[in-house]
Amino acid sequence: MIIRKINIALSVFIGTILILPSCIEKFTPTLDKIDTQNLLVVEGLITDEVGPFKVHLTNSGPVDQLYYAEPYLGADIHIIDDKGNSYQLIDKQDGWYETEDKHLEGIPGNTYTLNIITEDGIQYESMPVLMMDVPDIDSLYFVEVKKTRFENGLTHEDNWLNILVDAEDETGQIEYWKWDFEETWEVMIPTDSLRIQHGWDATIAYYTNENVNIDPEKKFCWVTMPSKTINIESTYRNPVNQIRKRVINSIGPGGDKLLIKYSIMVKQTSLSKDIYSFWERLQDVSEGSGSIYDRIPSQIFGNVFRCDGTGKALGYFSASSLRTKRIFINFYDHNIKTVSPYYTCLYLTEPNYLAPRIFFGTIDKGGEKITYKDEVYTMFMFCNDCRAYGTNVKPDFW
Amino acid sequence: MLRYVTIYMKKELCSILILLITTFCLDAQNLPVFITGSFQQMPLSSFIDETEQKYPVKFFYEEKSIEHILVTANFNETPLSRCLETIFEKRPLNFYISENNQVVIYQGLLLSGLFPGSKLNDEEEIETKERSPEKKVSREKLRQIQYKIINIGTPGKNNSGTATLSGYLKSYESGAPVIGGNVYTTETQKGASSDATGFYRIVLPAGNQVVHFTCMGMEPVTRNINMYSDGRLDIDMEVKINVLEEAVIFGQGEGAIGQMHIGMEKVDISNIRSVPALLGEPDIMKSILTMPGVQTVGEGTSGFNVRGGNTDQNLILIDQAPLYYPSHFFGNFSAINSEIIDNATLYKGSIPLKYGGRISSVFEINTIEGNHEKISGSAGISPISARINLDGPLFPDKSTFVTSFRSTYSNWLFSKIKVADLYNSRAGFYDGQVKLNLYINENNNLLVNFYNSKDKFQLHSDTTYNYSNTIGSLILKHKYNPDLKSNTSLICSLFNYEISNENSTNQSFSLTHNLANISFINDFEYFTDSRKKYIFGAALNFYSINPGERRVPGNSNITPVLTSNDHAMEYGIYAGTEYNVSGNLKIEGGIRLSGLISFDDGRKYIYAGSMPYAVDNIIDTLYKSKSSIGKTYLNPEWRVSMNYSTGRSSSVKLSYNKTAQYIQMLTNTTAISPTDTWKLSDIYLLPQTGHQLSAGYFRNFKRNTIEVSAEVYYKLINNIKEYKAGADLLLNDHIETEIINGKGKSYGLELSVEKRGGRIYGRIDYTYSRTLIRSVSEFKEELINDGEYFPANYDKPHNLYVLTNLKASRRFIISTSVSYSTGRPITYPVAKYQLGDQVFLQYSKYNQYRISDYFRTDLSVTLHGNLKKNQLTHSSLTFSLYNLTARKNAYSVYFKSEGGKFEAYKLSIFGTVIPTITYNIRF
Repeated sequence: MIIRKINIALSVFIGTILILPSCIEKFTPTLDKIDTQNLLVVEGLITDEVGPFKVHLTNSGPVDQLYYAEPYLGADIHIIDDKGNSYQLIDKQDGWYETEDKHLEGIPGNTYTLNIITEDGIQYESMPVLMMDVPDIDSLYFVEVKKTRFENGLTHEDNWLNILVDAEDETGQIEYWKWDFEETWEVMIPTDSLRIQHGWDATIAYYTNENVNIDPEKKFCWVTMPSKTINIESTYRNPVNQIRKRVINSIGPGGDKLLIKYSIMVKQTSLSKDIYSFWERLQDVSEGSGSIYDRIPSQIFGNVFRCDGTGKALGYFSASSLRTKRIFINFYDHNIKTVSPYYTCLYLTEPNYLAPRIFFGTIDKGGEKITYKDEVYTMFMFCNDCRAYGTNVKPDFW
Repeated sequence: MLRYVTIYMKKELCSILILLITTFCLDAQNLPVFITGSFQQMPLSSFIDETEQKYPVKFFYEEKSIEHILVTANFNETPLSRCLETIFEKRPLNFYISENNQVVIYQGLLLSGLFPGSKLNDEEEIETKERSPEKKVSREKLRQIQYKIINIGTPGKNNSGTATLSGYLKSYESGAPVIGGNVYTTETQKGASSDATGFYRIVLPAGNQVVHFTCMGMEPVTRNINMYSDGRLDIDMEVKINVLEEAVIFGQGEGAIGQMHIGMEKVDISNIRSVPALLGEPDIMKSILTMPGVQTVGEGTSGFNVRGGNTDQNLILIDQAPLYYPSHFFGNFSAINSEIIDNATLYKGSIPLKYGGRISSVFEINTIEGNHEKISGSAGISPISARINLDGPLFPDKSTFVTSFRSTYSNWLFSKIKVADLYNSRAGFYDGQVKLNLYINENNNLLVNFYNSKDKFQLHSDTTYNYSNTIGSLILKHKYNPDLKSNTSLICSLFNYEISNENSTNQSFSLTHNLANISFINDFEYFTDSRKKYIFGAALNFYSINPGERRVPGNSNITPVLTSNDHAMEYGIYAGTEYNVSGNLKIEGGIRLSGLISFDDGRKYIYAGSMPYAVDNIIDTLYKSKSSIGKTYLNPEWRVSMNYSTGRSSSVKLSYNKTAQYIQMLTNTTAISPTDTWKLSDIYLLPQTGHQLSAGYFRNFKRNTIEVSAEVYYKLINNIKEYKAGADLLLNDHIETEIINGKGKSYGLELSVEKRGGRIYGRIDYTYSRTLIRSVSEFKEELINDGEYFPANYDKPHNLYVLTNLKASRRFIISTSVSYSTGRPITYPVAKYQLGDQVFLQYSKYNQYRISDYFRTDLSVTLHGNLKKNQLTHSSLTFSLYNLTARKNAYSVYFKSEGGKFEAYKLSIFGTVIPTITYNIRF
């Protein structure tokens, strides 16, 4: 892992070492038609948590076009286990397929297989996946570390907050680990009212002010974000299947997450060797910079195949028991520099006034055209309604 | 004249050769001198004085050599030659009388045997003798010898119609042997080359002919000889100072025609220095990239690909010792200081029998022998490094030393540059060499060599990289008799790297990889009769390789990985012959039996039969005792080449070659890096084998000043190593699970036109070549691109290189070069998709696309200082412009997500004109 990171830096390094202006240019590669065809993307994880079994089907898109995950509709999906049960998944919305039974839970020790028949009759099947029992997260905690940054010819030392997990599998079964997390933090519009200054019109000799209160409903919110990095680890052939001080997330200075109160929930799952190497390769390819000292990227397919043997689907189908843990971090728990998300909103400057925008128009009044002007006070919704950023519904765990 | 010679004698600036003095007036009559007089116990010097006074005769000699010689004789109208014969009878002295009665007296032992009776002859004649006392003559005289007719041997002594001409090629300037020089005659199309002592041997028909002596970097020499019987002819060759001298002697060529081997490229060392170089560092590795059939994945990368071979399939030998990572700064600079390189040859077609162990090529680099007369050297400074080298005589007698040292001062530069990218970065390298050339006696020469190179750098992090090459070698050149020679070497070559992080508290580690290679090689050459030469020998290579281990201090969170070394013994036994079938046809052929004995040490994984090698399929782990034989391989390597002259200035060559390789570098990045590891073949990793068939047509025009050649080749490689997608090669003790064997095929056409002589030197090389690889496995899921052929990373079909060198004046030289090649293959992302909240890229099939074509023009202007001969130092100033058109050639291509859209970017590191000034000084 360490080695790969160094390789990424190499090409830039060589350029700079030679004291040459290395140059980066945009270009448009011409792609083969066959390569830009859409492929089926499968995403499915069966856990031992109570709920429906869910699978998400989408289409891939050409690399050179704007992309959104276009849902793949009209497929017929079954999940079959090795105990002879078959569960049908129904197309709900946005490419999500769910079982009708909302109280299903996967059973560790069972083996699950995904079967898909698309609208045009093409059949896909996953490799059978064994659900393993994952141990609990022993501890989830945070540590402050110092990192050095180089800016304007000077070095700066910043405090960063690392969130770490410890876990251990005493049975020695779990060799491939994966963590996902969900962060939630509180945000607050840092003012109760906005002062609106009237009197812009030159005909009015004096200014008038008006205070507009911000609705308390729009003032306090909670933002929740899923993890956007791949956190996997292998303890394969380690003497003990032990995870110690594994950094799951790292929060740097200048953000708003730690401003008031922050919470992170880490979900720990296990992976099969296949799925582990699938994620590992995805990570490798997404971190690679295309440098000639990077591993040559390659096509990455998961464990879902076309039954006629002519191709593969992208994505994966996996099963694992799931263990979660949550911690809270208050602003007084750390020394990380934070910045309010509303820093850029105008009302933070003194005085908190809004300048009106003036619109001119004409009215036809009995054949006579009268020019008039109107003043409108506008503000970004983000600045006066925190619901533009998060939700004002306090989470249960808060 | 005499004074001139004497002065040199007093200075003891002797070259090994005696040179013959030429006529002052070509119209002088050839009048024999007749001596009359009675001499009793008269010192020879007095006799000479008296004779010089009385007769129109001049003598040249070394005073020491005629000391104590007394003349007692009665002459009556006796011809001078007979007089001298009488005087020198039973003395180790020989003489030569020129047509205007200049007499040279010199010591010699074998001469009387070689040239009995010929002293009577009053014709011009040159007789030379190895290691005889030398008289230095001026360059002008040296050059005039070519117009003389030289008699070799004794008339009537040989009735076979052919005779052997042998002798030594030596540098006029330093007296060092000229290695790898070509000797050939245009009439017979016969050729030979000189060995490491400068010795050559060629069989020629009796009669008048012109013999050409050529060598890269040396001025060509011709001699008109009249061959009577076996004889010796030593040649002084002048270093070609290609920018200073305009001397062009027509009727010479580089002699590709007479050269036995096909696909052999000699690097012109003097050209390396005049070709525009990046940042003013002349580079031997860069210069071979311009040759037809040699490619690279990109500029600024290490390694080269020869005729479709991988970078690890080249055996790079520096003074006969293998060098494992030949570059500094990831390939931006070669690890060998070009200032001390004497000659370099790349064998890409037919590989000589004595070399084995790599399947694509042998790149043989020899450093200079060292100046025999005085201490000399050079120093240079460029934006990257400073270098100095010294060489000279070691003991008063015939031994020499060579030392060189080069180092960067980039750390100092780094501290001056405030760029974010360079924060917490350091980089530096050095390389140095000490070589002693010890003359033991006539028949034994011992070479002691030590070489070390080291790179150390840090990439704005706490992690430091270190890598080094170390070579120690002892090479004994021994002559059993004039027909049997041997070269025995004991060589130790080490490569190791270390990546370490010692600063961070719980992330400290040190990752190391070591390779040790000890080899014992004994090569023999045996001349039986004039038309046959036998070569035979054996090589033993012992390897000890640590595949990589990670050591950690006690408080580190990182898991240590400790491994045991892999050991193996590689051997090669060969025998072959060079046979001149007829005047037109030369055949060289033989067999090399190579093999590997791989030893087991420690853990060994056993995989389930009929299953792919995969971690999940390990069914057992065996613990083997130390040094038990694990697996043996044996490969007979047949090698045949043929040269057929189709006329006075053209020839056709054919060759077939088989090669085997038992050690490979594991790399799955586009360019090799010093963190790639070497791995020996073992029970799972099969040795690579290559077969190459090549043919060529060579023709010279305009009195050999224009050489044209066309070569075609077809090559098959078995068990080429390809890697499974995302293979983890570091710290992996079951590397066989990451590797797939491939079959490679490569074919190409190489066209070359070279113009020498005159003010303009030019070269145009064009190559069309393809290299395709196919993965081979019984298991479909392991195959790359479904087992179809895909282009190799370095498959660049069209390559063009044009070099012109214009000597505007004796002190001013302008050089330009143009390179073009098709862009290398690349794997592009073609689609994107979403999993969770992350967008990922799906890539095309392996190497399905190509980056844009590569094009670059360079220009350099060299200004030489004052050309006066007797000044203490000679300096030169080179101004060069790299990438004159500022074309932004793609170095790498990558994709970045911008607003939900992936944009393609290309990075060009040399995307602008790079001017450099280099100052060089010679002393």
